[in-house]
Amino acid sequence: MRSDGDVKSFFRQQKARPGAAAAAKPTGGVSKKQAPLPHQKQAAALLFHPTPDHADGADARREEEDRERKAREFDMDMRYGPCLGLTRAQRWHRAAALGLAPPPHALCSDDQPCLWEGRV
Amino acid sequence: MERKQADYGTQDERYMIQGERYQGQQYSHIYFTRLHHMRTLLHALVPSRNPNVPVTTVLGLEEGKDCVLVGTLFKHMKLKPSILDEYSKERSVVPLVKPHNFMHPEDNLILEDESGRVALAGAIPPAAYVTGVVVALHGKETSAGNFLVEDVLEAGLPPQTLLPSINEDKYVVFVSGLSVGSSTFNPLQFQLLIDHITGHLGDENEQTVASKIVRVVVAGNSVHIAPRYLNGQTVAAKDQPRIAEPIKELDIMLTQLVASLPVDIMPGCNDPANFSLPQQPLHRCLFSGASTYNTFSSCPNPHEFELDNVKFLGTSGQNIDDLYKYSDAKDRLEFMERTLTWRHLAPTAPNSLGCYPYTDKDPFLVESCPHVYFVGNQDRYESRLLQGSEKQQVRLISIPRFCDTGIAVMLNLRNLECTTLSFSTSFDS
Repeated sequence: MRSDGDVKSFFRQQKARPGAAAAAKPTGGVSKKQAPLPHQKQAAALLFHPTPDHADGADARREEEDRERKAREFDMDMRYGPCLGLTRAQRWHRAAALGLAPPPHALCSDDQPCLWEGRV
Repeated sequence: MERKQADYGTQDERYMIQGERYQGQQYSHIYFTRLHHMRTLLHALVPSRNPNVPVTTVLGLEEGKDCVLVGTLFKHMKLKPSILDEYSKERSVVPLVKPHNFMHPEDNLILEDESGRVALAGAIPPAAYVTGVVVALHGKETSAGNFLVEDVLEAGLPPQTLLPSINEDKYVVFVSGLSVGSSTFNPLQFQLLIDHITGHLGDENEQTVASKIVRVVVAGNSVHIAPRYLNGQTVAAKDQPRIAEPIKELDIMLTQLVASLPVDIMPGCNDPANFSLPQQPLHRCLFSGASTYNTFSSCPNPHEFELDNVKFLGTSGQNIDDLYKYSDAKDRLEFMERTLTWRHLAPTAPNSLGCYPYTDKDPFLVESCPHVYFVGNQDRYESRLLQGSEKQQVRLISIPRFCDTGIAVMLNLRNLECTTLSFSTSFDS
């Protein structure tokens, strides 16, 4: 069995039940739902005219899921050092200060704790 | 007669705990940042000392293949006290601890990096190393899964700024372990020291020498508060003045000193400061008299400063005392030398020495080599000029406890030579 397939199915499992996942994880990014990109909204409205609200919500959710997935990958990457007791942003800043070239800042600009906070 | 002056600059910002917030973080962050900084440093050194040997991680080790590993040492110690031993059901069969330290012939070293750990064997004596030191090791993996060390590569003395040439004698006086309030403290002895420094003693020759003293550094353990007041129970109202008494007495003494020259006071393990390193400066309110002078400065421990561009670095002795408990050397100066070549002031923090849980830095890394490195509260006076491989020169000073020995140390800024000031109040000795 391929190992990356395993990881992907892990993430998909988390996303398949967004309600349950949000209840279980202390992190849940709520703020991003209110701000979908305007042109995407228009495109979605043009393409899926009969059900605009539904498509719009799915799009934003996918974007948020993508963000959260990347943030979790950052949490799990041990090159950037231990993550417990730090927020993602603090850990990102430390990694940047140590010259470790962490992934783009945007996904860690929040003061969320890491994936493992409160679980280990 | 006029007192000499020296330009003073403090570099204590790195030891100040400001704006740090405790969020339940553990000590792993310190080890991570320490390993990261030291690894960049050691990786740069490897090509010059062991060319053509690949650098690898513990996970990438291959049996029988020559390579260089960089990692943090962990010393597995049979006799190291563990809180869990007190809760174990069966009587332990651990042999008795020696009176002075926790060493045992069966101690062994393990090297750790992010990927894993490997037991070490070969040319690395466990007695000389402690947990927390970062080194590069040249060797190969054996069939037993150990790493056979051929050669240890330490970071060596940090780079040093050129020693300024000062063409007149200027002295700095170091004193530590005053223990005002303890039974061994002799007020007359300390008063003699003060009178000598301030120029109230001796003939014109001695006063000329005293006028060249530009600064006094009090390196820890200035007061001694009877342990019966520090047992965690509320102190009765009638005992409260008794706790404050030693500090008041010290304040009176210090006031005489600061009236004539600058004084730095560092906290030590017995002083009313925080326990964990870096110890924060003693509060000014404790010294109601001395703190009214601008020559009085309360400093953290470790303390780093410059006098006429001569760089000083020192502690009140906890780091060296802890090395003494967990490793072996022929004298205290050798421990001091090791902390410089490891480029880390207190490698045993946070393992066996209290330390603030920093998340983004390790303040005890020594990035630039001091000219004078002093450690307070030692058993006796020792001093040596240490020569580095890149022409660094460091004066190592172990300052004895004043209350036991009556010795203060006087350093000449011009040539970094050291002498002692010894005071005695008894006739028969």
